Amino acid sequence: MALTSLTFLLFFAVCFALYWLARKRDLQNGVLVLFSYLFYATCDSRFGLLLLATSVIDFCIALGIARTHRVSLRRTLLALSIGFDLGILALFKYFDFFADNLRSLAGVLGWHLDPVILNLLLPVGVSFYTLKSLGYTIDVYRRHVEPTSNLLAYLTYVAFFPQLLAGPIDRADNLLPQLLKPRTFNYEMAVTGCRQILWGLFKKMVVADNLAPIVNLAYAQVATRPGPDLLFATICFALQIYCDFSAYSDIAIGGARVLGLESVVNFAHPYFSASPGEFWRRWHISLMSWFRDYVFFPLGGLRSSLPRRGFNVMLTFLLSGIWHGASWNFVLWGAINGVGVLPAAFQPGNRNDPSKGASKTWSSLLKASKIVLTFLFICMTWIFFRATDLSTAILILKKILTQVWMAGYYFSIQGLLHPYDGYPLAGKKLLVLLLGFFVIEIIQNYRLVDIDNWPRVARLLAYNSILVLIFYFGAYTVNQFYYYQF
Amino acid sequence: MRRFLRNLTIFLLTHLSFWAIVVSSYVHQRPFDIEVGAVTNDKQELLAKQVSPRIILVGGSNLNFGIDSREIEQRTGYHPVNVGLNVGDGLAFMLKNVTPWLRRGDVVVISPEYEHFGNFFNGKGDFLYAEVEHRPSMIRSFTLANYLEIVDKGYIIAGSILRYTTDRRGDLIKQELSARENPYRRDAFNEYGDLIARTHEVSWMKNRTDLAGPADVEVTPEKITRAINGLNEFAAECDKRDVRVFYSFPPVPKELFGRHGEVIQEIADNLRNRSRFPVLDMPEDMAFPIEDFFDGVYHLTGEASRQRTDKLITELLARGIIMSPDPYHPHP
Repeated sequence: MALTSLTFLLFFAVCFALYWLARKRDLQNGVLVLFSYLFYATCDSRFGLLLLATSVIDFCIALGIARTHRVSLRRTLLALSIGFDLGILALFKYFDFFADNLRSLAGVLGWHLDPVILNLLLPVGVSFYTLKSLGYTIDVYRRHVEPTSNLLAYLTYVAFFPQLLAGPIDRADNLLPQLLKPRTFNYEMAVTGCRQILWGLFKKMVVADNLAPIVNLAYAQVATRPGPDLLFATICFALQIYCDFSAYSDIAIGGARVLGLESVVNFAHPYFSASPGEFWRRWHISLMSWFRDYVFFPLGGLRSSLPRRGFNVMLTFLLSGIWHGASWNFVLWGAINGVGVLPAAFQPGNRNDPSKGASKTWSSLLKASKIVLTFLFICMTWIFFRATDLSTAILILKKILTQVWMAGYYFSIQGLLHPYDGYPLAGKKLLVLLLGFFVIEIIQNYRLVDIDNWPRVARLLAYNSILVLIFYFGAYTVNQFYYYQF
Repeated sequence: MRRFLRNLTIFLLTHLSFWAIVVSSYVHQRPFDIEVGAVTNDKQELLAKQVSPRIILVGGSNLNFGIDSREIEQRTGYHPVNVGLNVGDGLAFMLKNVTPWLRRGDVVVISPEYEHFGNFFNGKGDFLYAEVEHRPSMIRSFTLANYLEIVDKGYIIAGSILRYTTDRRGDLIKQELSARENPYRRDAFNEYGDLIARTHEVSWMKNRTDLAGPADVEVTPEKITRAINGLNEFAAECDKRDVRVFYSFPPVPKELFGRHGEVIQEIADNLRNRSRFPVLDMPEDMAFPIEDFFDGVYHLTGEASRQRTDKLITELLARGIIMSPDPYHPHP
């Protein structure tokens, strides 16, 4: 069931009604667990038991960790949880990748290996809920979080349906305490939640989905497309993936708010970042903070020697890369981003701002140019994220770098802007809408307008207009979110 | 909560008032009675009124383009009802749609497209909705899965209505329908439900190599089983009513067997081994040169449709489907 379908809206409405009719904590959690597993069954009925097993095993392990003071036993239990959760990921997501690479490596060394290839289907959302559950047992081990003895609340925490398939990876110290209390309806939360859902639907159905065919076409014809086409398609992909993924987060966070639950922020207008380091503090915040707290800090973080800092940064980004998918593209994508963050890691205390003392105009210009450069750097990394394989990614990069200066090639971009069957937004209309979207992003980023201060009629008109635009420009197919594949 | 529900209701009411204007304009603009979709009404009327003994042809648009009902009537004596709908309506709906109208002595020939053994068994929401737009009572033939399909496509259906209205597409369509070479109009069909517009003698499929087919719609063993179970259940119901059921493969270009041949063979093997009704032919029997197709892999041109009908009649006659004087005991 796609979050952008009317079926989901009806599903959510029924859940909303039953949830708020149930005033007791366990009844509310019961409704959420029931709807979460139903939701999961509509996406992938085969792996519901795996979700349940992950939740129950980590729940029991966390209780075991909390009830013993023997350090060795606590460590053993934690290792068991890590082994189980990462084992699931290793089996379903990485086994074939490593087996295949082992065979290639053996071939280079002149050996003949024929490892087993499992060809297992990847359970939907497994990368997200395993990190959620694993984070909980680690937090309990570190005594950062009190373990819960309420299995229902824990099952709700892991399987909470708005977040189940693509995050945010809400941490136990945020969501679990909320689930351990009965919730009362909060008008302000519900209204902002609805608003966030509406905006999420707009970003996904109008912007992301209409950009998808441009990207798909250009990336399917890499050999014949000139560099400017590929550059344009890559910029479109940067917007597509942002609007797609942040839209999912908006719908998930908004949905949680309507149910009286405050979720973590996952995106903070990342394309306004002035450095790659800042970008990664504003993009997929829940994942990057997970890696920061459970990988980067335990490795020593920035409180270590320069080479060690570099190693910590690179390892963290390599792991976040391979978390996205079992392919060398993602490994390289992670590595390039790590390299982008390294300068900040080597000079964490250096806030030597060249614009200090400069005029306001000059410092604004400097910041704007940093934002543009960061955006271009991130776009370059997206090539490795989107391309089907490493050699294609390198070809795209080569074509962009060698042909981007040739003005004559730019006319061919028009060929990508033609109307696509099933996608109503094309040509000039698409460019105008993208410009409008960019203006709204600026308004949101710099908080230039507060919609709560608008007259009621104006708000009503704005919400209705957004909904009409969704209907009018929404793609003719129900497209799944890009991050479902991870 | 009360305040939230009140404000939400105000929002929904303002939005619904917008839609009321859109829908009234849409209904006013749309030439429902001359569009191709209106032929559904004619087919349903025929299904209710055609005199016995009858041959009822159930399937998708391959039947619209690929059957010469008059020839069937002349050679078998049975009165044909061509209930060829759209592949997107789904096999489940097609079977449920004809069930209430079956009479003792009827002969049903089912000829669904291969896609129904994949993702199309339960149809697609926008196609199903289009049927209901022309004949609201058809909603009675919907399965639960059909309703869910429509709900799932709710935004898309609403979007298409909105775009139709604001783009004044109705005017364009009226112009297109007045052009006689367009076969997609109500009066392109004859009294049996066959599409007989003369222009479809010309093939638009020549030199096409990128042929879409069943390999594109996730045909899996489970989905094949689902379709065959649906067909077997329908056959059992027909058996109770003394209605004979036959299966005939749809016509496809020979070229389709390239990329899609394996899937087609898998469907045929399953039908041969697991169906509880006679299968009249093999997929290869219904393979035609690509020049025999009009604008799609199932849409035959005029001459080829007569060849297909001939093959079908030969198989039916071989199984004793020929009129006897007693319409209630038509099988000699």
